[in-house]
Amino acid sequence: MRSFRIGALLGALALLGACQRHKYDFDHIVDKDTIAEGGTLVMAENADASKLNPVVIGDATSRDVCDLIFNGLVRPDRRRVDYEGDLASSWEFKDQGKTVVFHLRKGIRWHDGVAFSSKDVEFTWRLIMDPKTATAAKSDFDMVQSIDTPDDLTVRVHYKKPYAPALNAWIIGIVPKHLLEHENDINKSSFNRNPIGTGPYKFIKWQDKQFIQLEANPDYYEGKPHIQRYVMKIIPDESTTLMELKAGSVDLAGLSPDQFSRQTDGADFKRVAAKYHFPGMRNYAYMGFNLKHKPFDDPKIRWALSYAVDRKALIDGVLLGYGKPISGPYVPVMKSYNPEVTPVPCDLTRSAQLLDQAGWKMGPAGVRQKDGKDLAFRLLIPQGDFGKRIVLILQQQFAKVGVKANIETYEWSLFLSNYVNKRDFDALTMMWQFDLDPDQYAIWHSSQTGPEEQNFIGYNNPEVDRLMEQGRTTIDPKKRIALYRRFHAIIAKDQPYLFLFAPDSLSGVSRKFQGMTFTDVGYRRFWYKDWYIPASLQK
Amino acid sequence: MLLRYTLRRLLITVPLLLGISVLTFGILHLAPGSPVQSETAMNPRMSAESIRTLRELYGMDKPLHEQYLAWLRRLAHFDFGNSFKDQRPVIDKVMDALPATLLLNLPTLIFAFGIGIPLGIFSAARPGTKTEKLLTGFSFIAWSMPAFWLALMLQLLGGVWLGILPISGFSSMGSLDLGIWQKGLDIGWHLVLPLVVSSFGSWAVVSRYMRNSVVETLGQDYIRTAYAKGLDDRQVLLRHAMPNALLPQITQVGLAIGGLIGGSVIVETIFAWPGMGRLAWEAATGYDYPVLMGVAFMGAILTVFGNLAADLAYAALDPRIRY
Repeated sequence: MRSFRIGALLGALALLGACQRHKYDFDHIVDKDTIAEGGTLVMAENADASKLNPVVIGDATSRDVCDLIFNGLVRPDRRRVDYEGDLASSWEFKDQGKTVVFHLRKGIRWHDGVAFSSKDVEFTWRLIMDPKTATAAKSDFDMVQSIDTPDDLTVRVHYKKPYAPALNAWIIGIVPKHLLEHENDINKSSFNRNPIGTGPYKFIKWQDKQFIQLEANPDYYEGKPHIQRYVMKIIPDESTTLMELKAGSVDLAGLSPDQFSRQTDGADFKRVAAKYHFPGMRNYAYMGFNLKHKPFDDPKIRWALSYAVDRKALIDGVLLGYGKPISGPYVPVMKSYNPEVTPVPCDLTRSAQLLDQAGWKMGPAGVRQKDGKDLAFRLLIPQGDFGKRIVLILQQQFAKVGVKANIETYEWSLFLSNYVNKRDFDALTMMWQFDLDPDQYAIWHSSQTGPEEQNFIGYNNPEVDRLMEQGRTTIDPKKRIALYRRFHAIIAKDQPYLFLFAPDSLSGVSRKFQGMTFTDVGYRRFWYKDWYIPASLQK
Repeated sequence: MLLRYTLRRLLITVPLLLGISVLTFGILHLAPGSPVQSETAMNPRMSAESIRTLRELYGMDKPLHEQYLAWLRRLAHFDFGNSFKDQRPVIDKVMDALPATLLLNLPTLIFAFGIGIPLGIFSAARPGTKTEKLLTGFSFIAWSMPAFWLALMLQLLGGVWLGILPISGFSSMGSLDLGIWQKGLDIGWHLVLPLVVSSFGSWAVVSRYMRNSVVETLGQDYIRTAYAKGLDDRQVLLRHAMPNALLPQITQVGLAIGGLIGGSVIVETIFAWPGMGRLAWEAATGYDYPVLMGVAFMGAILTVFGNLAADLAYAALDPRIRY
């Protein structure tokens, strides 16, 4: 009797499960081509947001949500390589690039119904420049002398000198003057938890550590998004995220290389979701040399190590093949990436030759020696699996040419304060992350070598200095790109870093979405303009 | 007597808590790194001026002892300060996280003692039998089962294969529009997997303690006396052995009260459960000092008072103990 009851229970459970599992038939969606309004997009993020205000400093999650609530004057286009108008419909550079005039779109309203105007733009700038505001955006506006607003739809920005990265700064979300002008401490303002913007989605609710919910803005200037609700669900664990995706309770999530290649080929995944693989846009991994330390002051040694690296094996080992080798300080999809410079090939003979020429002869223990000293160096990384895997593979590859890398791992803040800032390393491995603009003044200019500054390897090349300066003042986009491509070629010749790879972007998306637009770099840009959920699939 | 003892213990609590707070504060600030650094490092766009503004905002431009005194002054008004991360009051953040943790930990505690104590008594009463060996073996397996593995298996089974249980989270996405009963049901449904995982094995330790303590009691003289009076096994065990064997469990309960508000980081992370474990963990990794100090201090208070309650319960239950 008892076993029968358990059997019946299990049977009922299985039946329930079966019903649930086949709730939707994604292979035969009858109303696939009929655009429908409504439905929900649930996006998984691994950490909660901090402040939903584009002006004050926040984390990556906050920025993702702010992108849907606020608009900048300009924005990266669908391919993320150029700018296009957002709140500004057009703009022009005047006075040889010292002034930028933005023409704003007519009829845009804040989510609370108040009209948006040039005064809001001026206010946002003042707020950023206010010494009391804790923001990462200040340096973007350092070059701005003043702003004036001749009428409600025109903003004139005057720069101290011609400033080419100007547009990049105006991607920042504009905040409403009428709600914030009497705020005495913007860092603690309640606005940061109840944002009002001009974007495609309106803020509805934020439940700490659980979710942030937004709703389509019916008055959005590009038209109301088809998908009614956007929910950002906070799931700290990546295995849980994948399971939620398989269960259909999360619609969009990033995948790790391991998940992408091994855990998403089964019927349980393919039934509900599709996975996508696109070139990465945002970051690259490198090993940087301390150019003030011997023997890395000698370019021959740097080249020898570069030839010793098998970048393909590295990408296979660290990212299971989901990455691209790079030849310089940009990722391949960026315009400033110089396609004529190719990634350094793995060439052990060439590497050994260079080391021999420099006087480092193979010693008895398989480590090269010169004047009785081993060719060994300290390779530092911040704590974390990813960096660890990179340096372990590099260590093996260097050993093949008789170079010994001694790995040292430190907790991130210790790594920065005791080693990077004190220049106490021979080499280190990290990643750089960047936005649309190719300006890398802070990383390569010889003036940026102070204790907490970013040129921590001590790179100093007058020609690169000049290019970095010119890049900031050259307004003509074509000429500007040419400058940065030239910079790329010079850096590649100097090899102050071993440029390793740019990781691909891997993700899984529910198959309920229709109308997706694909470019060579992805599909998520402007999803709110095209995507819809057929009525039969709306929950 | 008891009153005087209680008062004395309460008075000792004050310097104890102060000491704990100095230690916690000191350890936090002696650790390398700072919230400012974690927000600004390796950001080529961060200017020195912004870094200074952040330091001032967090009150980190002042010397350490002033920061501590400021914290203490606020505490005197029951103000734990604001989180560095989102500037919300720490007390609000704790009050958001506490219900979720209690909802998970209280039933876990009840399971731990409710299952552990009878099992311990049973094992002690039937030493060497097959059932006892089986139970002992099973409790070792349950105790050593890694929570994350069990969680993943259950999520896969209940959430993906059968598709009947929520995989993670505290409530469903549409639950904002539900009535109060449906909301409760929805949360209960989400509680199933985390509860199974967090209470799985929690009884194992209790049952081992209980078994040892019953075995020890059964060797006492008064048990022999009870048998000599002609009582049967059952009466001896339940009337004479059990009450005495239960005494040491009071300490366990006392300690567990302190643990009640400190959620499990692993269970809460895997199940995206918005509790205290994640709050403390995220505060620790993000250098959110005010939140961390608040959580640590509340934990300390509960532990201290849990112990005090246990000691008082001893006095009430064991006539041999007098203060």
